[in-house]
Amino acid sequence: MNKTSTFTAFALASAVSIASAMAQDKMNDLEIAHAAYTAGNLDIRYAHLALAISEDASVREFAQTMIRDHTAVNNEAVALVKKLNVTPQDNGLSQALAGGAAKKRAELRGLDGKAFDCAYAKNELGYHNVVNDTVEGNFIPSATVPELKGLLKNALVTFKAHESHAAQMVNGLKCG
Amino acid sequence: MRLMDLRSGRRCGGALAGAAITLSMLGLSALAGEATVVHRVAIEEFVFAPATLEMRQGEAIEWINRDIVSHTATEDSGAWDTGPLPRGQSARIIFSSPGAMEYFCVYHPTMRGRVVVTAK
Repeated sequence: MNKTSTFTAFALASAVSIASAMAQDKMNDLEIAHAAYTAGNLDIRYAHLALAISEDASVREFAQTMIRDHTAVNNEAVALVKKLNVTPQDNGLSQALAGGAAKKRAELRGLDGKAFDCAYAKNELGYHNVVNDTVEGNFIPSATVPELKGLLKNALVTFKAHESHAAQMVNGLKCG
Repeated sequence: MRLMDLRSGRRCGGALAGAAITLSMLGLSALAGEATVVHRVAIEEFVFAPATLEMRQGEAIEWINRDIVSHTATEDSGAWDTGPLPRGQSARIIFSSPGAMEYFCVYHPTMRGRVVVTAK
């Protein structure tokens, strides 16, 4: 399977799962906050897995950046939640993201060497693509609290940079 | 704010003249007397703005990070480096020798910038 078809398969499966979760009900601010925070945390977990398995410098640097950046964004989210004195709400999308990530982590744990590096890199590209589309197309338009909308816009800039970085990593690894 | 004084033997075009590169940490009072002109580069939305900066020998650049996440401004070969700049922090480097240099953010390599230092 080539890069495009691998990415497309991931994106389609994830998009269907996300669309299904979002179609159940229109998400409110507290659900959006929960899902966005969950998406960041899941990427941090992928990154820790990469640091445990990969010996490739570009993969390890990317993983360290994911931990650093998603931690920074999620810390902002926590600060906002405290300031607003609200509690984010678990929801179908958060659960779909967590379920999908658990399966992918199990798959990645069975790999090593270049097979792991390529699978991780392609997953990062697909994951950021799907999450970015969701943040841009659903979260930001649906958010009603100005501070949340602002944080999502800032986060999207970060996540889009991650998507470009992931594409660069996939190309550099020459996964075929 | 992080302060540095860059004295390099770097020539235009990126070739090294062979002179040692010294990167020293200086106090604010010492630096203030050295750089008469300080150019500011904002790091915002994963972009160095301006991306290209032309300046004269002996002048300084101050980078300030306005993003949520940390960034760096690091010369391609590592000749100079602001080090990590968390949100709201800045670093200043004085360029004492002429040359053209490309730099990037080590955390986000798609972010790139260029400095051109001309002789006084």
